[in-house]
Amino acid sequence: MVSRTGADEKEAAFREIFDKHYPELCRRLLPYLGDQTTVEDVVQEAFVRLYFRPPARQDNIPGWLFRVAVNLAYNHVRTEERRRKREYRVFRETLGTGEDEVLRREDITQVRETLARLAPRDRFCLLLRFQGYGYAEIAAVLQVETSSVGTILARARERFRREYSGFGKR
Amino acid sequence: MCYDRGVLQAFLDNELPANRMDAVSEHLSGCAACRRVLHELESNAEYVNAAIESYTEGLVFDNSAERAWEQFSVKRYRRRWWSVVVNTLGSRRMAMVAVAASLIAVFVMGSIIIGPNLQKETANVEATRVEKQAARQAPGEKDDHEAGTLSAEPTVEVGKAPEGTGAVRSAVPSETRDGQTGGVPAAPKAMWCAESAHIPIDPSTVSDVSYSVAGGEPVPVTGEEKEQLVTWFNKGAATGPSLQAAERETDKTGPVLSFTLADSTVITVVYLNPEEVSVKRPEGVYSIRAPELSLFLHLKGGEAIDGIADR
Repeated sequence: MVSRTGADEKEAAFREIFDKHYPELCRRLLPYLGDQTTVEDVVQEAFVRLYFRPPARQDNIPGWLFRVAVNLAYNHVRTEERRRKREYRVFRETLGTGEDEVLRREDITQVRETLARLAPRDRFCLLLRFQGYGYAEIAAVLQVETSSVGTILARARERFRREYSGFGKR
Repeated sequence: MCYDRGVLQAFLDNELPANRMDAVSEHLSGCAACRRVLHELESNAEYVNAAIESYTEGLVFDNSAERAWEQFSVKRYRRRWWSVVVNTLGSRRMAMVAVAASLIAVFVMGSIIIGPNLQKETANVEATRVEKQAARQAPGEKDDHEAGTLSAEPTVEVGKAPEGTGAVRSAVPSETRDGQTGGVPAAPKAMWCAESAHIPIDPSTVSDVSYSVAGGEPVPVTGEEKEQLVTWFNKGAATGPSLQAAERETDKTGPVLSFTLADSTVITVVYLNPEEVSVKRPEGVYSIRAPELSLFLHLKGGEAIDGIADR
């Protein structure tokens, strides 16, 4: 009933890339934004850019997509900073219902809350470093000098630790 | 002179130039205060990374690939359409001015040109209906005109479609058929019914879906079937399960599909022409057989508006 044209071959190839990388990209972006809807908006926009303006070198598409997505995410949270806490909504974790899991659930809720309390710059710096990015790449996302990354990272970790360890005393 | 925490952090992460790494290392060997700071930074790194690792391990991304692809397709289609306008006019500002002007022009021209045609067409249908009633009353005479068989009615050319699209046709809105509402709000003052308007609907914005056939009452569609219809609409393929069921039931073309979005926008599609047409889709060009898209009404608050600009 529906006949396809040659353009669909390109479309099928793109769909394959989309299906392969979309879920993992969203999962990696979740800690940065905290809200699945926003994460999906950002990741879909990264794919739109891949579609219309693909990189000259295509040997690391997932890396390129992540860089584009994390830049979009950072720009998004900076413009939406006033609504940051409200937007940092709950999303689902894979946890059971056993006693250990309840304790673990409490732990990760506290991590999430702690990340939500950090300024976007601190949160992105912590998470990018956690995911193995070098200072030059972190500086590019945060739009700061590379020489400032050490200071930002050290302070962000101190703030995280202070906030996180304070949970038990509240 | 002692180093600040940022330099020590960079030293810890091996992110200093080689000569500075050596200098800091030499300093640390003779400075207990800096060594304490370094240990504190190490401890913080371990503490934070352990907490984040525990947290990210439990994260799950929860969405179907199909739904994500549809959302992406909507974004991509909008971008393509907008890029063409921006590239043609040279800037976003010019494009926005042009779109605003076009919308006003479309609305005004629609009111002037389509309004009288609509009335005329409505009158034609009314006349046909009267003929049908007379035919039914005539004993032994075969009734060729089932109620609501839109394909039997003439269509009115209202303009040329944008390049690459099929013909633009106008037809009566379903509420003019046999006095039934057909799931469509009050008669539109203007129409916008090019096949290029057949852009995908974002499934997450759809609140209600219904279909009606032969001018009958709209039948609500829910659950999985509702999702299938939205998917089907977005693909532009004539394989919707409810639509096929409706056709089997009546053996007639001319069913109406109606999508109500969360912002009260109603998208109504009337399928009436049996011939094959080509429809330009975001994914490429498809040929679609009957019942193909023949009329696209995009209604909001009972008035037809420009579909692309609104969504």
